[in-house]
Amino acid sequence: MRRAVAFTLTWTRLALAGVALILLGTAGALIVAWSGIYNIAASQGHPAFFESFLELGMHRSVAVNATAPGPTPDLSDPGRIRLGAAHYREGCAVCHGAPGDEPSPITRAMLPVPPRLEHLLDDWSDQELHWMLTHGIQYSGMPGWPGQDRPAEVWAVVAFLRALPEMDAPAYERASRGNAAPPSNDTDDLVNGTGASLALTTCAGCHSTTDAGPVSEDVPLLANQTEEYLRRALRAYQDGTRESGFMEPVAVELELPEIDALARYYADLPDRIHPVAGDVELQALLLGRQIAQQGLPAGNIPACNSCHGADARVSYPRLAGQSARYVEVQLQLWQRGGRRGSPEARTMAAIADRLSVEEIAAVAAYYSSISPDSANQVQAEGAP
Amino acid sequence: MSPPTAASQSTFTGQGVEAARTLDLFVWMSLGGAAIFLFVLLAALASIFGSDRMRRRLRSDALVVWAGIAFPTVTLSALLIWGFALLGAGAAQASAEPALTVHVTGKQWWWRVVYETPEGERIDSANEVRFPVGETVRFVLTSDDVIHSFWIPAHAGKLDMIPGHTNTLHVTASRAGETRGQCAEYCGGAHALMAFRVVAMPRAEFDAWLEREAEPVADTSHPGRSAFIEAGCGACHAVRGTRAEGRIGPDLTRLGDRRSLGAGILPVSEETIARWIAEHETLKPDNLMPPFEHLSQEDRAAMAAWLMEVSR
Repeated sequence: MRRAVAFTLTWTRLALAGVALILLGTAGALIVAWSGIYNIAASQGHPAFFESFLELGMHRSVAVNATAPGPTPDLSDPGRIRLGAAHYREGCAVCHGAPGDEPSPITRAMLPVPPRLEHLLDDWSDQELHWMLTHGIQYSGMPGWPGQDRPAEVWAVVAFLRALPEMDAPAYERASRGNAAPPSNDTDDLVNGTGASLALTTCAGCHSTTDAGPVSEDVPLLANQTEEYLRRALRAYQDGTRESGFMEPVAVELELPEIDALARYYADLPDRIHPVAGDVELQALLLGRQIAQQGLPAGNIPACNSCHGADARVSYPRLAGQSARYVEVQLQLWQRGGRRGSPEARTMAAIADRLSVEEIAAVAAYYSSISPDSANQVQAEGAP
Repeated sequence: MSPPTAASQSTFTGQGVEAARTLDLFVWMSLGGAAIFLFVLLAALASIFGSDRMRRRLRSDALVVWAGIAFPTVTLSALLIWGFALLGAGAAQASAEPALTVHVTGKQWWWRVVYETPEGERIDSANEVRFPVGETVRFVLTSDDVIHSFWIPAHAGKLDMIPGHTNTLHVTASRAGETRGQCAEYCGGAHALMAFRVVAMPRAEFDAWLEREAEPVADTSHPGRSAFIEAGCGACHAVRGTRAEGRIGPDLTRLGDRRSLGAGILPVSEETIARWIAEHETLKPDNLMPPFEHLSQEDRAAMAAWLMEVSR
């Protein structure tokens, strides 16, 4: 049979053609980019087909990549919803808006425009929401979670998002303002200077003030801590040596004198027990008391009260009356290799590594059940 | 770190009765063995280079019977009997009432030493063993975690310390002096740095020392004392006479009196104690004391000064 063209396609020629195409394509792309012919202005918007293409890519990528670390906790827990609401108010409402709150016109001019979330949530599963919050979305302004060490914090925001469609403006206000009434003039005087009183409003959203305790079990009680410890914690969140998606953005906004004033304010609050408590078993309490007062010599675990009692160094935290869930989460962070940013934290890391799951639950339960005045006993082995 | 001097840990010094006996047996066995070896060597040389007459003699039945059957039987039997007698002597010692009982517990990687007086009083110490010269001391050995082995080369042989089990070792010092012992069974990371000093003293001196050791420290206020308690050191380390009652780490009452720090690896002084607190992870890798980098230079110096002062 005679060929139409005096050319034979061999594998070599095919390969060469492939290489040439790649080189041409790359050169072409570079030329397009360098020429500036593509208008990158956000104000231009995307053509509809391109918008759909990007949406498809994003949806599919999230669907395929989304895995949440660990099981989904109870998203209807009111404490969790309020914690998420308080964080949403500070970190998310500026772009996404909130009930009764329009987002800033600046964010309206972003591309893609941050959507209002109330109507979109049915498109996504809990796992997918968690993933997007933790990792952010490329080619958009959606950030990931600061404190990549703390993915469990994100569940609070997911819980809030699930409750969001039902919320009207007053409900949102109540959920996101915390337990305390808005700071009165008295508090203003207490924390002299408008900078700190504004900051206190933020703190009060989760940690509350004198009126009531923190909004959820995940939020630690600050009233029993020393000024020195609170100051160090805020500074550690500020410079990133201690990770938290909730606390880092808040701490970065604070000036050093404000940190000092806030630390003093919370340290001076009267001692109390964290109001949100879960169920506690007697066995756990007894084991917890034993570890707190005597330690577990067989496991090389020293008595907690030696460092966490009221007479210990002011740079050590006090544990009496603290939320059990919070203490557990912190001990688990140490066991996962986190919380090694400060020298004191590294001391505790060596000890936390020796605790078993039951022992962690036990000490957490014990400390959540005692008041700060009774937190001082350290006893030798075998003493009553 | 100061390495042990050759004299202080040598099995050849035979400072204790048991070690002396073992040394005797070893020396005679070595000399005898050397002599026999020499003879065999000479016989081998003779069989290659010797005259015909010599070789005929070497081939003879008489030589095989006398030198190959009778001689070994006699010498080895003698050695065996001597060896049994040595062990038997140990048993006789064991049945006699010891002058002092010392409970030594092997821990990773230090020694808990508890002296038991005849009245039954127990006195806690760590990382050093002291006993009177010329009297039989009974060591009751056990372990809290893994198998260790108690060995004072100059005084007696090794004896394993097995968790859940007690072994007894009898030691009689024949001379006063300081020697060194160490752990002789691999027990994990810092095994090579698990040693202890041994001091044999005249009886009167020992009694005085034990009485002082049993006393709680003076109850005076000192910045080092409050720093020690507030930093939480008392959770692991006991200092008799204070709130510090921990039994997880070595007892530190009269630390200043001891001859070594860190289980035999450093000399004891204010400087080394302060250095240990900050740098123990480098000085003794894998040891179970948590890092204490957050203690300032002043705090550490104060604690070290206090620990040294209350030992005087």
